[in-house]
Amino acid sequence: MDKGWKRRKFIKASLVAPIATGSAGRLYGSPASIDPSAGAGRDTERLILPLANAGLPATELNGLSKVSALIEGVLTDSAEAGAFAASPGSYLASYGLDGSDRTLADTTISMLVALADADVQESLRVGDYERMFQYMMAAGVLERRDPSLLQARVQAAIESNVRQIKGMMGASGDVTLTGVKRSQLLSVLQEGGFVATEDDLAIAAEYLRTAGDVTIAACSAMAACVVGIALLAALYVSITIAFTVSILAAISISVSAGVVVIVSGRKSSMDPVPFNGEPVPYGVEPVPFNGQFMRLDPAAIRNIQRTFQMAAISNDQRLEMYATREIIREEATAVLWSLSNLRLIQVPAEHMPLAIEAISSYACKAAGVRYDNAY
Amino acid sequence: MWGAETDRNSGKLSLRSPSETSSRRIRGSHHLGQEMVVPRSCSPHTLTILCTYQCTAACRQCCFESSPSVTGRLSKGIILARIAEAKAAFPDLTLVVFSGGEAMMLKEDLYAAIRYCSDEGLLSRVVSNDYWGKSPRTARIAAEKLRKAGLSELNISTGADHLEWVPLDSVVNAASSAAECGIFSLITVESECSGARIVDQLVTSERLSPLIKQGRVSLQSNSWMPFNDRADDRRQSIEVAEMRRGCAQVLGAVVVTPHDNLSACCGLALEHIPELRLGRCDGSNMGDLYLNQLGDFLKLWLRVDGPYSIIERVMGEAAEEHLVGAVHVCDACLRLHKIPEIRQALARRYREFVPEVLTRFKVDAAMRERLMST
Repeated sequence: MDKGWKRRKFIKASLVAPIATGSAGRLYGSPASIDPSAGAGRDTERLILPLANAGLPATELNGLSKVSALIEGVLTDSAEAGAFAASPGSYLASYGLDGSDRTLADTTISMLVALADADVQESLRVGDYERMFQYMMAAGVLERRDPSLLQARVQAAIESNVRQIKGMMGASGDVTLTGVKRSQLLSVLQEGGFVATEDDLAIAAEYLRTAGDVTIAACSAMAACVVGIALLAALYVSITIAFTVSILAAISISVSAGVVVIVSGRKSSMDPVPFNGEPVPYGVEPVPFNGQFMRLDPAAIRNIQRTFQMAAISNDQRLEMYATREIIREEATAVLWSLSNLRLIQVPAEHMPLAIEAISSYACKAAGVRYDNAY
Repeated sequence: MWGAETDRNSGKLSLRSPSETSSRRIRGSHHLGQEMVVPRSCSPHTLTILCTYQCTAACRQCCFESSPSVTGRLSKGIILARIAEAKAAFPDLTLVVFSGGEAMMLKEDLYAAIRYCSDEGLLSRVVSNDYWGKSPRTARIAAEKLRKAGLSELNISTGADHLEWVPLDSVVNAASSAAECGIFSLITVESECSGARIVDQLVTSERLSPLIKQGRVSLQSNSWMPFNDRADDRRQSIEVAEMRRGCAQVLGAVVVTPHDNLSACCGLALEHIPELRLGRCDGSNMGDLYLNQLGDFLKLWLRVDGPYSIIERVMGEAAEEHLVGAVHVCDACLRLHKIPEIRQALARRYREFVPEVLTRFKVDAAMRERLMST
């Protein structure tokens, strides 16, 4: 583009702008960017709801330290926890707080009530997270989800972009391995720990092709194996759902949108990228199942956020790992079934669990999460 | 424990007598002659500098009606001073966002501000339409300057409206140059008009495709919100449940506008809602302006329930007619502040919600504080 193009564009913009600003089509009036007096000096017209006029003492916002002490007691003292769990409304009232049903229905407060329960504490202590999740669901902390919803939406999102996804896949290959070699590959893949390498990706692909009987339609290049397809599908899925909280400051995928995105084993929503004055190489090792698919089921995202919050509150890193594994496994399951249903891959139904296992193992490794329950 | 002095008319609150050791000190309360305290959970983590209202583009639905002819920008001196003041006032501050208008129009002043952030240990983000990527060469030059300044990440805005002014090639050039310089880029595409496949063009771009696969460039779609009656039909998939959540912007971020005003949020509606304007910056009052919000129950309520839920709760069955077609949380916020029936209902009924909302606010604040300290 030459300078003339730039100049023409600039002049065009300059000519159009006054038309826009002078038109009567505004839905919400003139912005202060155009009319700096808009809103200024109109304090009497401003909608302000003074706490001081709410019949409360002027010091009503006092007492946060008391609330902090309440929370600390409930989370660390079994007697306090018992008293709170037995009658949370009365307990809050004893601290001068509101104990109404509406307050108790608040997610954070109902989470606190649940964490104070002796059964939940025991579940956490022994690592019986399935039991804990059941309790949390009964308590309303975690939302009940229709398990078929995520897969249906993933499939619909992939289907609507299937032409593009197919177009980015390569040509077909055909490799077979012995049984011994297959089990060796899976055991290598399931070694817990660190960020997966290209070798791990190759192992996953080989395992899928042999043990899993997975045929990847029109695919031989490593980048176009199931993981590659999943990454591509995740991209299309990520733009399927529009954020409804976008702001002028724009947003990081994870932080402002509240989506848990795992970047090379680092959940960026909870662990900001350390800054050392040099540009940070984001996502050099992309994780195929990083919570992006979950965005198709917002209830899943809310549950993930609450689970991570509970893990942080109870300082239970095993719960955090467990939740991450569950995200990966659920996304891998939804995507593999979707790809199979859409004939992008062909997997005999009886081999699908193996395929899910291999892909989940790889994704866990790429995310720096142990695949087994060991910690 | 806090001491509070509240102006009964304005709702402005002053806090005194800090005694909560886990809280952070907010400086800038010069007129009281002592330091202020806010709970860390209420302390903003993001400062957004709207460097200028001027833009190389004049998008039809721009919330600021930005264009080349719109004036109003902050000088380099003011930008640096506001960052310094915010860093001193809000110790939990971690990120400075440079947006606009078109922030990259500030050129060397912007690079200097980014460098200042780097030197101060703050993350930085630039939001741009990428007009500067009109050729691979210009993109590379600018990206290199951003890298040298220490930019943490680049957010790129594009879509049907933006493309009337900035070609997609510019976006591709800028995002790929930034990625090649080690700067992560997030391309935000407006919800698309029927039949448009801008995303496809980006995904299949020869330069961008490998960078996307490597996770060095990412894409997302934002709900697109109209500001005038000449809006196109857009294919938008809206999750109402997400709009029912509390607003993390209020009491979570703070914004300096090109007119050097402090704003309570960085939402799309900030210059349409006078109530979000906290006051004029004078170089030492940022902490006070920010704290004054705590005397206004509406700000606390927006934080706890968000505007969509507040309208539902206050208006009951009538809420549906007021919320029909809402596509964005800022859309709901505009309706809350602009529709007379909602304003009247809020003023009339808010007291009945105070005990409950205040308890939820306090518990959430204390919980956040605990999380941050562990």
